[in-house]
Amino acid sequence: MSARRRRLRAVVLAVLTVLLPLSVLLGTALGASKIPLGTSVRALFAPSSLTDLEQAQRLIVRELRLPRVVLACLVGAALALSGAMMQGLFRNPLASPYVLGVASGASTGAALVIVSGWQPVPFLPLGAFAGGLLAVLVVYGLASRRDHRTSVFTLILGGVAVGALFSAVTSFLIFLSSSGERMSDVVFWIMGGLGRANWTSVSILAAVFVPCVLGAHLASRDLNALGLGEEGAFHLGVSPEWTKRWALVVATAATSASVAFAGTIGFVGLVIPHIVRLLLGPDHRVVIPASTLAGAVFLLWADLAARTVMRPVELPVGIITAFLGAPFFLYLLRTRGSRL
Amino acid sequence: MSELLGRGIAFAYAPPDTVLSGISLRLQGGELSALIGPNGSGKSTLLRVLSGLYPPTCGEALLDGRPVHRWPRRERARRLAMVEQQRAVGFDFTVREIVAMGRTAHRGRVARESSIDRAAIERAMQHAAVDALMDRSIHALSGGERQRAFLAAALAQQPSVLLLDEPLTHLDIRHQRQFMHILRDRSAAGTAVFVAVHDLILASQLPDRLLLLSGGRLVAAGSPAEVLTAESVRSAFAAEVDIVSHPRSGAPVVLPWLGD
Repeated sequence: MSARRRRLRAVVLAVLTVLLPLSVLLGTALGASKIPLGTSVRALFAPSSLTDLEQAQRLIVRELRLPRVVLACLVGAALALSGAMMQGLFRNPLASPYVLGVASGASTGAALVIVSGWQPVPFLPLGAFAGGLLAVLVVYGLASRRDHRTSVFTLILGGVAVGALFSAVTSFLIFLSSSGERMSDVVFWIMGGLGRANWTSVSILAAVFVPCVLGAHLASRDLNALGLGEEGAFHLGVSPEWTKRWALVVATAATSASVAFAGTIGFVGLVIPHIVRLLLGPDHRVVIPASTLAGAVFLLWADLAARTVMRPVELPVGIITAFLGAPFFLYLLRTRGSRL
Repeated sequence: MSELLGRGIAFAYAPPDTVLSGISLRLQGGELSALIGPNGSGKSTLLRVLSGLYPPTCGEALLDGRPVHRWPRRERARRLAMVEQQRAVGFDFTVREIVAMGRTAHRGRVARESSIDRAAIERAMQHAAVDALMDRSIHALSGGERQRAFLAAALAQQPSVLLLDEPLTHLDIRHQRQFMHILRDRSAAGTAVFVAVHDLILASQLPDRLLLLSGGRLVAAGSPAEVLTAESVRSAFAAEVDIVSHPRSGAPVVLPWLGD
């Protein structure tokens, strides 16, 4: 590793580490109603100093904005982490957290809950989580051969096919739904958003996410080895099978949990690990933590934009991430092409 | 010093179609041996069995007395390294990063590079003559440089047994010579080196020992002069050849006859 790249790694990691808490602070101050930064800081750290007038703002900051901002960070981080792992696992920078059909499966689960008219809490996240997990299990089952080896190729193709199947089921459910309101609920859910954030969803996602960070960290050395191919990894003393399984479990847990609370938000998991790899090189011991931090900051800002650009109307955050992510991705394709 | 011992190895991808049968051999430290044989004779399969990737269907491949596929992965990788024939690297790793992967079995899951690791990586890069390329992307290298980078990664494992599957394919004469000399030096330093070679002219010059594989069986083994006889090459390769002696060394040179 060149000295330049080493320096860049240190700088980028330091900038992200500083940027994250700053963004959280700003995220609680900005929104549909303007709250002065000072008030929001006091609401967070010294609530007793607030005047009666400011008490309402305290509620907005602590019970609405803070959980939402934290959820945005967690979802962005989880998607970027899982994208980085999936790309490492498939040795293909075009893989995303949704490559195994998690998004389509979760959408079907969510649509089922919405159309059947069950209570959205807790059935919506549960349904989405179960749907996502089901899709991955089907794909994994397809790709596991009798000799207990997993074909990466079948995983990708299986993900495409199972994804298409679940999307068809979702469309059918939308088609069947009698009320227009439910239909738009499903569509909104699929577009992804952080509007349902509360402290319960934040704590559940955090409880899944923290072990995933640990799991990703433990897998990063072996994901590097997998960069030399499965046989190459074997000769380095790494089990390609266990590495694949481990990475699939961690990435699927992180993705399904975030999809359960935020719907299917695209491009974070695809683009963030890419940018990180372009800047800092492909070593997973750097790519995974840096993507996790960058994903958190990115989705936080994307959600902030979603909340404010068409104030007081709120845009689905998936629109913002795609608007930012897709052109950047096209730019990368155009300029880096074969090196991607 | 480790040794790799094959006893009556047979292997079938899909029984009963055996790819290898009755193969016995001994690879010991300090020796450079080359595996030759026609396409499809089972060279790559034999190396995979010897490396522990595939357990033999019959017989055994023993690394220091223990079946090689039964060794704990990491302990095996500290004793035995293999450079496979085709390697597609998924990402834009630098040469230094690729060589550092050779230390995977020596370091902990989350451990940083130790001074021992660093020394081993630097030595491996010097031995394989890639130290000047260390910051280059693996994808920006020529064929010869790439092969040497993978060799350096294998050397960083500090193996006692080094297996290589046709590392010289697509290299020009200068790079073939350079590569063979690196292998020669490693074997002189005590490593058991076993390399599958396609080119019979290359095989005849530096190795101490040749093993000729044909139809999944070892049909000849010994010094180049013993193995490369007109009869053995003709029958193994089913090709018309003459053997002449090299004007400088006297080593046997296989001349294919393409006429008639």
